[in-house]
Amino acid sequence: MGRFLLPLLLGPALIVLILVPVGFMFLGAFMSGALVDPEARLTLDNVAAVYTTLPYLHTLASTLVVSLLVAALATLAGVALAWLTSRTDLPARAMMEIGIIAPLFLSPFVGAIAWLVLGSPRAGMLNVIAAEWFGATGPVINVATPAGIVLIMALYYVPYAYLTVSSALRNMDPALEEASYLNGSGVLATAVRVTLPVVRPSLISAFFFVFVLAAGTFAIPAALDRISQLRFLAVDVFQASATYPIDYGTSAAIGTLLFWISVLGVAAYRFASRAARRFVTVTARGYRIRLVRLRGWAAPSVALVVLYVLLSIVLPYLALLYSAFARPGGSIFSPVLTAANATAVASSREVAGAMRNTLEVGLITPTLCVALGLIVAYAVRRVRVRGAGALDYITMFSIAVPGIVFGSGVFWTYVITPIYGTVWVLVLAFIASYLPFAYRISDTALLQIDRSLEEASALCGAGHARTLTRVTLMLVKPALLSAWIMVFIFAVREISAAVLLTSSDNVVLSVLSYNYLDYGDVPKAAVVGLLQTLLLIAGVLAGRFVFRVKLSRQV
Amino acid sequence: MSALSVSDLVVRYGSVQAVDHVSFEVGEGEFISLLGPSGCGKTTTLRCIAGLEAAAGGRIRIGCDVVVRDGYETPPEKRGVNMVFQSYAVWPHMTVFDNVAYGLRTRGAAKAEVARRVGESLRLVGLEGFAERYGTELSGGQQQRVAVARAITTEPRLLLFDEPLSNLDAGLRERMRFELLALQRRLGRTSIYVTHDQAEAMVMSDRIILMNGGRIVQEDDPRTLYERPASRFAAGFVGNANLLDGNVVGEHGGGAFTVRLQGGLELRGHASVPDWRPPANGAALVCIRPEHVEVAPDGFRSVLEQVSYLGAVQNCELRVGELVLRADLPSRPRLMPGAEMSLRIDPDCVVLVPED
Amino acid sequence: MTTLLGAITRRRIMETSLGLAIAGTARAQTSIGITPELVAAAKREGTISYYHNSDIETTGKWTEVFSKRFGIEMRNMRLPSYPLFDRWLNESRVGRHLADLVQITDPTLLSYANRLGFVAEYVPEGGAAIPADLQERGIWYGLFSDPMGIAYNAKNVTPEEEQLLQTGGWDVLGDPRWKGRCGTATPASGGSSYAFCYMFLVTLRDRYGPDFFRKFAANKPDIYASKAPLFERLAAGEYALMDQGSTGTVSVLYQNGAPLRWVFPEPTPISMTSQVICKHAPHPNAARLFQEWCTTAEGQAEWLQYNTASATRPDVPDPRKARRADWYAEPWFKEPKTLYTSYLKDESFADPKKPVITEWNEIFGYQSGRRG
Repeated sequence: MGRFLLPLLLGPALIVLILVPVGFMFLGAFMSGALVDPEARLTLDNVAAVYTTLPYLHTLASTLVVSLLVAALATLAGVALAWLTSRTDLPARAMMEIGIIAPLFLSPFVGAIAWLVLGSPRAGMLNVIAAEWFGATGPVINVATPAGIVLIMALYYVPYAYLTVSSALRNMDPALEEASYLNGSGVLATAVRVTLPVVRPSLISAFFFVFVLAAGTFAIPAALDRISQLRFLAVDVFQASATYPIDYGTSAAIGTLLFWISVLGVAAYRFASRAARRFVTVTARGYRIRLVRLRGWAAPSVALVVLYVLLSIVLPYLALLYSAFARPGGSIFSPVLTAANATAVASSREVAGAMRNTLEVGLITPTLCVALGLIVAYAVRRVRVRGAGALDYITMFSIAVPGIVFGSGVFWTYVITPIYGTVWVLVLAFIASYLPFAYRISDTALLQIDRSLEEASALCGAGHARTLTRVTLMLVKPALLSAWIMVFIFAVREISAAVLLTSSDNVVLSVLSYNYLDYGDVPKAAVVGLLQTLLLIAGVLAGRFVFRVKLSRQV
Repeated sequence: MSALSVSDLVVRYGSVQAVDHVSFEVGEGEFISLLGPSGCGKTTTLRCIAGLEAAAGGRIRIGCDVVVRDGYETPPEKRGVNMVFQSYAVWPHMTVFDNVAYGLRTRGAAKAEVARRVGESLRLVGLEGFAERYGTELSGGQQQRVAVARAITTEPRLLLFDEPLSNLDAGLRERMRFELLALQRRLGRTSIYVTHDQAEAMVMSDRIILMNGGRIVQEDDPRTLYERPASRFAAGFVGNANLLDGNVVGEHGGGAFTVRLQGGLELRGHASVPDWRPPANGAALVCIRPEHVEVAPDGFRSVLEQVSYLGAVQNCELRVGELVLRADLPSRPRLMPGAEMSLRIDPDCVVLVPED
Repeated sequence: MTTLLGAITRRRIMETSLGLAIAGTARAQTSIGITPELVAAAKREGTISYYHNSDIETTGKWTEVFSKRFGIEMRNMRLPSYPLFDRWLNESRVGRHLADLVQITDPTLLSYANRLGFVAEYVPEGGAAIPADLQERGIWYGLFSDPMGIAYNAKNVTPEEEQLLQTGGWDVLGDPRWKGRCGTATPASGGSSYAFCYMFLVTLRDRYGPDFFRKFAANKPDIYASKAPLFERLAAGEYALMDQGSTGTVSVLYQNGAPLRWVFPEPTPISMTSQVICKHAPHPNAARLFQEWCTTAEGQAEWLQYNTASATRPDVPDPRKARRADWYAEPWFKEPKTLYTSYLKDESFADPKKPVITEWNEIFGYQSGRRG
């Protein structure tokens, strides 16, 4: 019975949640104006312009090149860091890992602002320091260049690559490396000839994962790009929907282009993930894995990790703190501190309301999202429902759709319903956006459980629901909590969809910082960004110590 | 000079002594088994010899090279040993040929030589024709052969086996035992074989090192270990045994004793360990193998309580007064429960075993 | 038999008494003022949903004053100007009427919205005190004006350069000495930027036109898609000057200690914060009350407590000016002489195709990724 009932319930739910907004996006691409504009007509103009004319093709090429570069850099760094933390005796590994994952706490939007403060060619903090202390004559760092933008984007995507590769490394049979040692290969040769090739499918999947995310990013390039040297599809989507004249048709048409790119990337990613699962065996016994002794290499390795943490977290937060607590009149070396911004924010009704809304969204979204992800994973893997393949595909769909495009589709889906204008429209949009993560983590966890544990429950007379709650749930709890924290982080950080769906009653912190920035109040945007980070840290600490969850183990 | 010398090896996991002052020697060309239950330290010892685990104390010498001593450990790639892993560890991204050739190529051997030696190894394990296949395409048994081929190709000083057959099904396991043994005899490589299966150890080894709780309990050739177990543990672990409590009532010199069992049955037997003296209270532990209980006239009386037909034998549970004896009797004539039987046990097969 | 005067008087009385009685889609044309009946009716509705695009903090504090005085909860939503307008339009078109009032810095959009039938006609009592060119009677009312000039970082300009800026008018932007030292924002980013560029490219095309901007473009200014970070970077010392310097933002930075100064060459474009009542406002009486209060002297003076723009009512002066405080005390500060407001009533300003943006993009070589 479950085989037919579940898909009947899940199918329409997922379709409304995910496919309908995407459908609206596609519809919008063929309209000459907003969907409800009485003068809007069906037209091929937008699509024709976006898909065939030179400026857009130029932008497409630029987006692809940059995304591939960012993916390559992030994967490279992610592999190196993952190998260091899971295969060597790097000192303070646990702390290092927190540092590597920490950029997830910083919304790319706020991070971009921080980098502007740090690295604008003349007045950027780093350049000023370089000029003062080292007598540099030109800018040392210029974030307004294509290279600068690529590097900063790569910095923020390293954690995704890291988590993917690190999980594969930890699940790899250590005997594969041990056999290589016994056959005469040293540490480095083993890493290159055995370790990396064995986790190669994970590397590929990490690469395409980052590629898809990078192609859909607008925050960093939008904030940093000064002279339109670098064209980004996602930035164009944003501008077409946020600056005058608002051009929904073009915005949606570009969105569809992004959609195809992402779909291809996701297909490559799924293909590589499946190969990864075939390649990697789970260890037979829990013997201590022989860690590579770094000896002389320990110091440079630690330096590498510290450098990464410095660039991705420490410096940006210093810039945010400076922006929030220093008056513009002072200089970096003798800052004039002020608590005015912080007190203004702390006593602001708007901020208090936004905190409440952010907490609501931040607590409800992951709970529902993870529950849904688990149910779908269970239906696909265990119950083997009819149309499992379709469910699997739909659930992963939203990774292919960038937030700003998806958000406008969600707007059209719910604007006529009472959900619109409340926090629930945000919750539904975020659940749809982050379902792929929750689903994937649940799926991986289910795969690692021996079916016989659940089969025993069935033979004792328990139906699917009972088995799910009494047996499976207990076994996958660590993975679920890990997924919960991940979705919590994303939901609190999310800005693009939130801006498109904001109303008087559902303003969240990220929308506040966006508005502050739009109005010109960088210090207050920085304070709100710091507030957001505190909230995220509190959530993750709760997860680590209360629930004993480690993100890197479960992906 | 022995091929391997282990002295006073200590390995700790936190506060637990996984290997507790283990010492033994292995001669050139010997096939030694490390036998014992899970957690006895046998695999840890093996991995220490390979250099895959760090020792907290002790010395290990391979050939003339001291590879482990206080504070110093030679890395595994420099010890000249190789291993067949329980999980086979066949590299999935390389062909069978590449897997087996790996060690030679690492040394920089010439292409022609690599091809020749790899071909030889594959022939030895019966995998010629499989050279271009990928590891993931092979069955468990085939992967195991690849692992063996890879390990022997580098001509290691020591060949280590970490429960290589435990993942195979029973029929295949028996066959592989003989093949491995034949291979070892042919190549003459000093081999150390870890297993928890005593039948396997018995079939393959020149000598068995029995371990329990991180320590060596007994070190003997299979026959001696089986017929003269030196402790209750050894008696119970290696083969089936009736372990009966008794009292020494007579001493006849040369290690021969008469012992009275519960319920009054008196048997003549001998001590497994020379120079064994019964303790002050005269308590003794008697070990009788089921296959040594015979049906004979003029023996002591017993009643057959249960019988299981196993094909080659009938496994019987016989009550002798208060005692229950397990016996493997011939499969014919057919025995029925309740039958009265007269039994005898050769004094040579009644073994007095020292308590642990 | 009635005299003309009598007829007028009678009509007026009828309209007055009719005004309050009809809720929802009332068309009260007459100024009523803040009467006890209006307050009572507003209190019964209890809340207002206020769409705006000004500073969150300021607006929050300002509406809080209204809230406390009349006991009506204010629920504010802020978005940048065009997304705000567009959102309101889409909601209205599908019949989701959530907004009571809309405040935005581009009043021509509000005129357009009125033609689409989304604006309620209402004349607040204070409307009479606001200059005629800063309102469309009964439709939108300008509340605060923000003049835009050239803002510069005093630490990055020499005294001669400063002298040039003070006296050179708008043409000084084309001076090649600023090459690589300036920043600007695209007119697509908001109403104030658009109005600024519109003045040069349309209204004063003969005097300035594309050539003026070409000279400025030759100085290779950094182009920002949004003005806000531009102000911040100017204050940090990244540039010497920027155009489109809004007093509201620049003065706040100045008060926080940034070494910023500004001049208002003639004519000075202003961005006009304007406000309408929505036709299908869910709380129409409360909305009317708020519109009344916003156009009173007290209401506008309250705003000036938290912000640095100018009120549209001439009887509400900048308290700083009265005290000769802050920049009013500075030697380099001069108030703007001529304000450019004609675009507010210019039909072609509201042209949805926004040709100014295209032309500006072309001049500055800025491909904002749209066709045509």
